[in-house]
Amino acid sequence: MSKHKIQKILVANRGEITIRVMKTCKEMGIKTVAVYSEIDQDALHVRMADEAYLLGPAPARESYLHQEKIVDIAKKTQSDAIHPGYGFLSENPIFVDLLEKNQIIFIGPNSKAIRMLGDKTAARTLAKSINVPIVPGTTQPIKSLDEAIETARKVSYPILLKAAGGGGGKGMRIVRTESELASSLRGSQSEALSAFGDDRIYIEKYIETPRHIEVQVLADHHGNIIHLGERECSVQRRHQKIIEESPSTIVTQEIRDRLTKAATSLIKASGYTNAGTVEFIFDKDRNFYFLEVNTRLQVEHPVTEMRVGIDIVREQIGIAEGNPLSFNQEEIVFNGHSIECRVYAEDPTNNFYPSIGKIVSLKSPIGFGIREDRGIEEGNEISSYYDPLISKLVVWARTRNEALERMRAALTSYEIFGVRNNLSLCHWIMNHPKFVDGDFDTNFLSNYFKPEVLAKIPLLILKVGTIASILNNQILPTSPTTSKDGEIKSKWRTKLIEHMR
Amino acid sequence: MEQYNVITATETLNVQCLSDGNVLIKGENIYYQLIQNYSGVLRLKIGNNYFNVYCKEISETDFELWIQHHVFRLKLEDSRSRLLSQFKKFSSSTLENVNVKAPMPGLVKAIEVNQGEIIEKGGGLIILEAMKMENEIRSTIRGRVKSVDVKLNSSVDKDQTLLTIEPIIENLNK
Repeated sequence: MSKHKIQKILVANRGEITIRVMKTCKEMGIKTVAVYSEIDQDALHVRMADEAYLLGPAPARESYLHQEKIVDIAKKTQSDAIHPGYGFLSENPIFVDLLEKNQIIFIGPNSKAIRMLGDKTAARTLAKSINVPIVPGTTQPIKSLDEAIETARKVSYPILLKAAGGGGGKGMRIVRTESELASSLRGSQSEALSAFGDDRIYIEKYIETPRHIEVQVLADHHGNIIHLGERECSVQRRHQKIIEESPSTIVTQEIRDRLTKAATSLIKASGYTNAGTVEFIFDKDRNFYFLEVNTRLQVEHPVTEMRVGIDIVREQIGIAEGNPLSFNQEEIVFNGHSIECRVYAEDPTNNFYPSIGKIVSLKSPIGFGIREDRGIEEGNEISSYYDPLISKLVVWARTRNEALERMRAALTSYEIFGVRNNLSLCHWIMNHPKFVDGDFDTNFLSNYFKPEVLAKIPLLILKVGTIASILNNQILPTSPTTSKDGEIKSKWRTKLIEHMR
Repeated sequence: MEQYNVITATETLNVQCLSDGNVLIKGENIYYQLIQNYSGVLRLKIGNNYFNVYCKEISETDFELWIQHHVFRLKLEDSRSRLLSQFKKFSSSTLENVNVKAPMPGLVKAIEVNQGEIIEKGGGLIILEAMKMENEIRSTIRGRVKSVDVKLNSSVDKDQTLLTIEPIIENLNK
């Protein structure tokens, strides 16, 4: 591959990941181009870019998924590369081919690797061929209900139905008895079809008390493949990760050696380049099985960056330029412990329903060992069009215990008013004895979390709320005005309540 | 001297306003001071502690409070609103129908019940897709589906009525 110094990058995404990518671009002296939908016209990522261009209306297919428009803007702005972030077009091989046709560099793997690894059944076949353990089940999509019944009997219940065309928990169903199979299969297929445009489903043995552990890898065009250690992402709700950490509490050095070797050999066998994540599932005896490869930058990549001190986006750009990796495996130093909380606009006391509305106040924690990746600021609206992620709060410390303490303190000082969020849930998790002991699996929340624990309001807080509402009732503020020196001067009109007149 | 009953989900607090910046709540004498009001977020000094509070007015008597990571609602009842609510209680002797509303804007992916059908408390009613996730809206009561007010695959706004349920109470004398 020939070398090409990238001058300008269009980031085909929105929110925190776009800002994350642009920060590295700015450090490297690379110009940035933002694209946005109509409701994002005042978003942080738009204002941060050197140039910004409107894509279209809010729905993703008319904006962030509109391949031709994005390519047109890249050509018009003479962007020599596109970073896809995560989600949207990041794992779409057709988009990668389109960029190649237009001589625009895609900062990610080639379309062949995406096709092979993105197809979960093909990836399982590949893993099996190089002796990387896979969860028992089919390596081909099932063709009929009869075949599903037969396969399910063979691997024995409980089983998991999974979409061949994509991840993220879409189309996934646990089936415990044969009587549930037909209706679950129908549900899986329809959900997979609407999420990925592909209703192929395959069967895996459902592993009870599974832990989800993944390996970050980097591969250049010169045959160098290295790993940046593991991340544990077992605390999830609805198959969506909430908490990630590195290292995992159950991965010993002996396991790590085997795990990272499995990951890098799979990446090698698939001809993969750029940053990728190989996901594994651990059973209760710490046996691991290959799950899938995420052919993109992961949401939780900061956990790894904090620990190894390597900017993964910088490496992604370097690899895309055709450079060899700037370090080898032996030079990577794993240091301390890192934890991430995904702060979501969703209500843990009400079925994790997404919340929308305006963020009236947002105060981020700051301090040593704290990182916050965020794409939203005070005054912004959370809409129902996109992912409900508000920010990623990441801490680093010398030990897991210190990291837990740092995260608890950071969460306590984090203030988000106006949109319901999961800060209190994150705090609850950080204090839960099972989490603190590292004794948890992907069922952690469904086993231990009861919404009532967060709904209880301490008496002191009730009293504070009471005083605030009385004040609100007695004093009617006019809208605050800002004076020249930026000081806020509220005009107050005091009104005595004279209800009984 | 104004007196309030503050009604929360779990308890009722009796509050007396003694003077400016001084209240008696549940027998405890509390001094407070409003330090700042910035875009609806109040900074309060209560005793020797500082709190940021976002007080969202839901109605004249109902408020949603945001303090630290707590979000809760309370009703502020003074002598006038107390009379009003008592009157309301006497005048509404029949059980009211429940309008099931959309908790968020979204797309109706499935309607799991038909008009006239009897549903149990906790039974699935409608699947709403929002933010790329499917959310099942469940019934909070046992009752009969009086009407289904949305169509399959239609978009709904937050708080739009999805369907109406007529409550069923067992052993109710006709």
